Amino acid sequence: MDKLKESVKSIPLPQDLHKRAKMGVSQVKKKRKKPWLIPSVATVFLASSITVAAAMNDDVKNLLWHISPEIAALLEPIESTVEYGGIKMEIVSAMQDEDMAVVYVTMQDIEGNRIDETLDIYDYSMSKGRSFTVERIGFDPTTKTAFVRFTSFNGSSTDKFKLKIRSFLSDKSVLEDVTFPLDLQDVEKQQTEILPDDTIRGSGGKSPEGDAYVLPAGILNIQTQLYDRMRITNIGLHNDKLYVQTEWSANNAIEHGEFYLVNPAGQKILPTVSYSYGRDEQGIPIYAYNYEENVFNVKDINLAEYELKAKIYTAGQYVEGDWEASFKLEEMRGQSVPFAMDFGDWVAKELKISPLGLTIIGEGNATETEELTATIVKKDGSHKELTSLVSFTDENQVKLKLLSEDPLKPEQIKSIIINGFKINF
Amino acid sequence: MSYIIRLIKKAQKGNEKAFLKLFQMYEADIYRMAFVYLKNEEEALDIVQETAYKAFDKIEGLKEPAYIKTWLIKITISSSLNRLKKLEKIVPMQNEYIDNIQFEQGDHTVKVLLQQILEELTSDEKGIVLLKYYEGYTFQEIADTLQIPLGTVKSILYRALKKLRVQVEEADFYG
Repeated sequence: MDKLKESVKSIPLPQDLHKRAKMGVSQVKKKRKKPWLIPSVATVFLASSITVAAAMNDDVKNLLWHISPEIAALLEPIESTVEYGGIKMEIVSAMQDEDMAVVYVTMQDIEGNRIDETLDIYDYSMSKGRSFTVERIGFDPTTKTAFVRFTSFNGSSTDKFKLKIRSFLSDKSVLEDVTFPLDLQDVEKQQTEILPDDTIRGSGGKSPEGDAYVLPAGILNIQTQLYDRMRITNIGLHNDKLYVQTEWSANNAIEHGEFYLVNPAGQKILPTVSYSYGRDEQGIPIYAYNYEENVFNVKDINLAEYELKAKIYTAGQYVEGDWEASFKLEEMRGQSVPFAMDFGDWVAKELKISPLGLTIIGEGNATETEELTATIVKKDGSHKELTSLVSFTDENQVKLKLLSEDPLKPEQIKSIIINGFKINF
Repeated sequence: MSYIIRLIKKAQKGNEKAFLKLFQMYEADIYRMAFVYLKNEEEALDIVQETAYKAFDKIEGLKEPAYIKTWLIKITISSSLNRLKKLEKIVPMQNEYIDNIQFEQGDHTVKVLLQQILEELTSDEKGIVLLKYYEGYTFQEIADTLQIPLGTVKSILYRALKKLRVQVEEADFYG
């Protein structure tokens, strides 16, 4: 039978055999690096015609065509561009109705790769509004341009609007089920020390003692292979609690971990309390972000059966700068129709429609989670559901807005059905 | 074996280098087994990549480090069979592979026998021939690995050897 073995062994091995094995392993690494947020391309809503300006630059136009040809055809951009540190911010368009303002912006890295599909605008401000949201709605890898939508709610109508971005994150990922080369049954008892209040930058959970207790600064260097910007510096038991002290090189609280203990049956123990704080080079607690302490209640737990794991949120890029633009907001006037409907705790009195959505105004006690759906029936017979609800309710005055993903054109609307009740338009 | 077990423990904690060192010991066998099923270098390389992916992804759950090789072989065989099913649906398998292989030695009988293994045996027969004569498994080990009855292993192997017109020693076959 040696002949059979010899014949199979005679199959020559290709040169890139081991390389292919490596590729298989790197696929697992990529899978473990799940993105924080999935870009939501389908949630664009826009007005039918927007602010006047010069010709849209080709990159922006291509990006918009890629995201939504329908919207790209409607858009006229504002030529307001600001560049800082090799990164260009361009106000593509901006509009408002009496409840909200929407600003479309592109961010492009003209020098490097700091803008990617995980772009997260971290620190920003707008000149008007009470609450704000920002979301990335598209990314073009060819031009390294991200398309971002800012929304400002409940600001007073204004001609001039100012948007400022101070920092953003990119190259973001989440490392799942990260393990550490340590055996919990070897962990020994240790004394703890009180963490001064003025050194705690953040905490989660409840400490039964009231004061924050942590382990003394440790000298361990336990690291995971998957992520080298964090290490376990101390681990110990005290009063039936397991303390895990970690040091983070980023020192900005952006990269962080969710630690847990897990046994082979998949039963998890989460920390009862965790502290984000700082230490100087001598290990003295200071007001900073470079340390995190997780405390687990392990009373009656056999630690030999458990393993310490973590879910780690990473951001390869944290970029600071000053991108500020002032521009005019085009007012999209709404059309009002009489509307009366009793919703139980509140009564609707007026219905307004603007390209950004449908607003129901009333009196009473409405909640933000009010069950409200609207169907727009167009003159051509087509239907359109509006389900995304924003509440501007203040004391007894109810104002609920159903947002539209794409522009509503009042002249095309035949009727609106709200919770089954039909209003002719 | 203790070295291998150390590598497995490290790989189970996510150590990529340890896993690749471990995998390297078996990747030639994995490639050749996949090649026997798929008769194509690129397809066999895909199976190597897929086996590395599946193994590194799931190694945490490997309870018996001593069976690492059997575990990898099982992944290889099931991946190859799945791939084969997909390929058969898309295009008929090519037959020109053997002429393109550059044999290290010019042994004609080796080449003819390989051609027979690749061409004349069914997937079931290939698996059992590979495990028996390439990997040196006992009949019981083959039955356990492929999860088929012992008697079936023997009858399929007998049929395969008949096709290959290989003389079988009774002691070898029934041992």
